[in-house]
Amino acid sequence: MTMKRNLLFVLLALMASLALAQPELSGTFRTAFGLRTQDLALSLDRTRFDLGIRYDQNDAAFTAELRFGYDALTHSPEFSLGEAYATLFLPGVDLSAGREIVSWGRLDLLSPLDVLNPRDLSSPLDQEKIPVSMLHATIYPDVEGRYQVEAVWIPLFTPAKPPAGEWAQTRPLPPGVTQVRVQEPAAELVNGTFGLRATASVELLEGLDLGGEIVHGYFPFPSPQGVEPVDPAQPRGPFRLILGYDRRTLVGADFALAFSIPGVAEGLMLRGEAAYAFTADPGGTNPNEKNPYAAGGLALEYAWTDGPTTILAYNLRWEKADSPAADRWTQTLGLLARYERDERLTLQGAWLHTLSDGSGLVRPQVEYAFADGVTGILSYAFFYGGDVTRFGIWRNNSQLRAGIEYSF
Amino acid sequence: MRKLFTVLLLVSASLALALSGEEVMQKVDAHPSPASMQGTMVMQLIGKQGKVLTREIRVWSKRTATEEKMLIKFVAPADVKGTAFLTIRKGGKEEMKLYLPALKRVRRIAGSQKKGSFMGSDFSYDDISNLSGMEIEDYNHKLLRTENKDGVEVYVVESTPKPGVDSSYSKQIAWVPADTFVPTRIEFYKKDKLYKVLTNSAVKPFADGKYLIPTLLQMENVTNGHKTVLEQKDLQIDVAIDDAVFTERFMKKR
Repeated sequence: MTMKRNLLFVLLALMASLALAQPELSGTFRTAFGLRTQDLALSLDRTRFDLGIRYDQNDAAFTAELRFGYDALTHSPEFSLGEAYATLFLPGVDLSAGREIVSWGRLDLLSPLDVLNPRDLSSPLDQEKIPVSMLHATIYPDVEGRYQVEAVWIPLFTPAKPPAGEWAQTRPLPPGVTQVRVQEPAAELVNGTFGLRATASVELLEGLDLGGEIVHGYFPFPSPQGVEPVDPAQPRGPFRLILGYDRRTLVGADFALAFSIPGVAEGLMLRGEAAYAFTADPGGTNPNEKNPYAAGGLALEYAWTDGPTTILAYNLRWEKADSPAADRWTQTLGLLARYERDERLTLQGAWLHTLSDGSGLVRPQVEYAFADGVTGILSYAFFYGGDVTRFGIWRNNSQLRAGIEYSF
Repeated sequence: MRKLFTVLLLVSASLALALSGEEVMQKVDAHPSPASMQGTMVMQLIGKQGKVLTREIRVWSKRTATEEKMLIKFVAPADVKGTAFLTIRKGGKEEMKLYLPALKRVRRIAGSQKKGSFMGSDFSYDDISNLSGMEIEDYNHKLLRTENKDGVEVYVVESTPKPGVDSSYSKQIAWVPADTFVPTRIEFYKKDKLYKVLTNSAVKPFADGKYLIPTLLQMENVTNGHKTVLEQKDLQIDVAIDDAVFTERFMKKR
């Protein structure tokens, strides 16, 4: 009885404080269905409701997002806290603390520099960033805001979520290994992630933005660290594979340049990023330690008169292999197009093709605004390629999707 | 014969007194315009069959002798809320940036995108940044004719971009009443074919009549029958607006 009374009191206090604070509520209701084209099986039947709460004061703001969902295919309800952070707007500095998503870099597709938040890849077609607890400061040294310095400290490591269910890859365990143990970095001060980024806008050609950053953190996915006997009394096995997260220090730079080629094309935009990740095994001599890699990308953007906006992207990634194997090179081409036919109908399409293995993804999409805030979406995802290729592993998951969203 | 001579004399005298296209546009440009403005605009996107989508935007603008700045933030509907568009004109150069809350990134917009639709409306990014007035020195202006509307003489002026000027349109024809020198109608042509028509109405005096500002703007795309109506509400003129408003920091702050 006392507990019920206390709960009622807490609820009343919460409602009263919300009423006094007059927070701004927003939300999105989404329901979507998917049909796998190979076997006409239902691949998606999911309903989600994202509720956003925001409270603004002159020099401070608080944002929180709650997700309620239900996956009818797996009969699993979903409740999660999305971003939830407070921001202080001080003279020349914005300070925020809490669960936040921070985007760094310039490329929308295959950005080597956008590494602060891990990804939820459990369903690769719906991949999104996972908010993580951080302290985030943005410094604006000049009044015009042409220069910015950002610093982020993420005290606790959060791993990425790998593809799950029909998207998961089954990898056989090494001989003698019967179990797997995943070891996350301990919650200690030294195991945090630290990032620093500086940007500047320069008056060159039709405008140039420059950026540079360093992120000292972890790879988002685990890698083998060795094996141990399942029973210490039986050193000859069976064994347990230990997966752990290796350190990396990523250094990179980016730019966005607006320019024209007189008489050929007016108003082009070239964006680029390059990054190098240092690890504890620069020579690839330790098979239980991740090796360094470098990645870079260029994207050329152009809006055709009365036509679509197109982005042609190229990405190159190099990864040091464990010696004596040859290093791995991956080249990816991307083409994105978006065309707003009128105030209601938007057509867009994406094509990703891995030059190195011949696999790819084609994803056309149609959006139609039925009313203010109400949008219907129809899309198709087609994967192609060989059995062990980057996108070919999902070729049986090509699917048609239809959904509707209501935002308020 | 004497009558005919008198008529010819009067016609030639009135032609001599009439303003040239350049002079009309100089008068349009010389019309006092506020140093700063802020207010709310309700944007209605009207389809061919009359179905309406409504968007609400908040606008800040400021001009000095050397630069013009404008910031637009979307307030409604919820799926575009928080989107911000910044334009800064300085020294003959124009800089445009867009903040999309879903991406959490401020993006520089290239010149080719300036000609594209502004958030699904019949206004292009360029149209929006030209709402405070075109750069008249970038165009050749020719008086086509004068018309009489409700007893007021209206100048019809054709403006064509000078060679080397990157304009969204091949020409513009403006209807400029002689009593206000605030254009009431502007036709936009692409490859000399009529493309869009802007109608300025509800011209209201502000600051004790110092400024005349149209508060209802309609852009109609004659090629597809769509139109967008912009209604300016709670407009504040010559208010002090901090330069910090026209920055990436303010774009990201809701």
